[in-house]
Amino acid sequence: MASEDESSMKRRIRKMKREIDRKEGAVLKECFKRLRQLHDQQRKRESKTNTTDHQCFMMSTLSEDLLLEIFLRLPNRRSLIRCRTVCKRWFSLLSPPHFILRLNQFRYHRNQPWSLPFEITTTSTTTTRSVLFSVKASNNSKTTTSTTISTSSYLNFLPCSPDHHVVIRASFQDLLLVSVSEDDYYICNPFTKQWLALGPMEEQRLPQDRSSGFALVFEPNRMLGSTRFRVVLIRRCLFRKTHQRTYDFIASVYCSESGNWLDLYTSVPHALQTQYYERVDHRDHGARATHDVVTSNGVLYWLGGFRRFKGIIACDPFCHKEASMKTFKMKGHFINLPVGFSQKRRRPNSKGKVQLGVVRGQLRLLELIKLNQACFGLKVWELVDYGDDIAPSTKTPWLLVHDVKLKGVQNAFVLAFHPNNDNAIFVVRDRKVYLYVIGDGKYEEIGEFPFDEFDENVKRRAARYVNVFTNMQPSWPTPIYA
Amino acid sequence: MSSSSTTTTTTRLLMLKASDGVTFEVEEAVATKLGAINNMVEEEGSEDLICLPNVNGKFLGMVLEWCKKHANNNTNSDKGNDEVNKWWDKEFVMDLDQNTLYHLLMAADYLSGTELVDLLTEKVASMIRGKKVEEIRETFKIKSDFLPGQEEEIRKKNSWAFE
Repeated sequence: MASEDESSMKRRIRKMKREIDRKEGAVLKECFKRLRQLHDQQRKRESKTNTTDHQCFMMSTLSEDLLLEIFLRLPNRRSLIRCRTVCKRWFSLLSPPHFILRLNQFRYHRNQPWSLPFEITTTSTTTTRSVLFSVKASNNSKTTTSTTISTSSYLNFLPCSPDHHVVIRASFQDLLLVSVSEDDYYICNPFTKQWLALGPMEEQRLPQDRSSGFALVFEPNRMLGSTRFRVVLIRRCLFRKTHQRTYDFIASVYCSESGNWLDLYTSVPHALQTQYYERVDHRDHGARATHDVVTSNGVLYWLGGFRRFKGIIACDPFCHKEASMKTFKMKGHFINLPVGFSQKRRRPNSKGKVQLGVVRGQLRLLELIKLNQACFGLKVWELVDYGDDIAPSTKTPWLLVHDVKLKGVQNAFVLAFHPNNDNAIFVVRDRKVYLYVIGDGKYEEIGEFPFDEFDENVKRRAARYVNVFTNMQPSWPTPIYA
Repeated sequence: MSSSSTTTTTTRLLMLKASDGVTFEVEEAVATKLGAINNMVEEEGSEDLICLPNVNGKFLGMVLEWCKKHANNNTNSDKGNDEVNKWWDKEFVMDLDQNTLYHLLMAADYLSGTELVDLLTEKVASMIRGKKVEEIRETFKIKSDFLPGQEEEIRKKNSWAFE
């Protein structure tokens, strides 16, 4: 019996144990279930109130490379700058110069090269006022808009009173060189409204000479870190008639490194025949002749000659020797005009008819000649990749790229080259500005030229009073460092 | 660009195995739209099963779907396909939630699907476009980690961007 009792007891104990186990298990299960529910609830609550961490993990799992790929696809500088202020990581990723280099490469490879948006700024300056007419072309160069505004209100962020005579003198990419009341010079970026006052020239050595040519130029490889720039004011220039054939010029040059104005004396040798020499009376011509200086690859180019054009002067303002503390010499060379260029052209009448410009980074020269009452001849030459070392007189570096007739045109002048399209120029014809496609002979109307801003007696010769600046809009606004 | 020889060659099938074991059978012409797979096929030659331990089946499926559409459209005819592709791409990215978008982007990047990366990064960029800083942070659930004053300083320096 005892054994039976024992065994039955054992069975009962086992049964009870099993029951306890089962109950425990159920309790445990219940516990686990509750715990899991709680956990789930908590997670849900967390993900609701604090999705930040969860989602931020998503953003941070993107590699720098992918994040950069996204930034590269942003449409404009405004969005990029905004992204910089989002968080520290974005800020450091979007820091120049590394990012800008990458952006430029990306845009260069992606779009056709040379399709940056640009702005053609035309200032019509008479003695009393200066009006600005600008043509803006977007990335695809298809949408072009034009506006007319007074220069002083366009540049109203400059620290000068509104009654001052504000004149745009030169441009470089998106920067402008501006003179206020003749003697004060500023560099500014109209887009960011940053500016830099260049300070006074120490002493006016040649007070009778008003500047006749203006240039602002940055060192070409500044994307790689160089922010050196020069402002060049050409004060006096002439072809000297001595045993050495030279073109001499005097200029005031502002160097960004020293923050000073220096005097510059340079002689450029040339090989012109003596019959091309001319007597220059400075009281007569010095003030009147203006030189439209064009920059390409850090080199300045302008047309030399007072009564007639004789050649193109090219000089490198970054390559100079200091002659003394206050003066220096610049390296330059002389380029003969292309064969077929009309030598008769008189300088004062030549505005809008003879023009230097830069198209896709290459220097071009244009000539518009009236052939008869209703026909113009248009010739465009390009300077073929021209190094300093080639002796200029030995071979002609010019390539004639266009030689066409503009029929049915009674009156026209050229505003500017299209900086990206080597087949198009901006012309003014019948009071209107057109984009003229040279090959097709097509005119695309852009806007009304502000003739009414001129005095009655100036209107007919409006072209003379017009200065044109082509501003390429880089993918990042050029900063101005004080 | 499509080549004329594709019609004559017999289509070879590849097996792609995702990280979660899901396998996909796809034509070689479709799979080689992905640079990484193209490389593997060229290097290993006869291997028919390709393991992709870094890509989840769900996203691999989507990537392959995209490849299939583009491969098919490219073989049909030359012009008009750009339009079709564009339209289809637009549909493809239209309703992607951020989670999917990021995973797809990483999958596409891992598989070197350059065109798809292009499409997806473009999509993310479009989510940033035209937004204010606060809106960007909200969209991507990013918290500003600038020290007080730092952000103001950046804004002040670039005030033109915030007008």
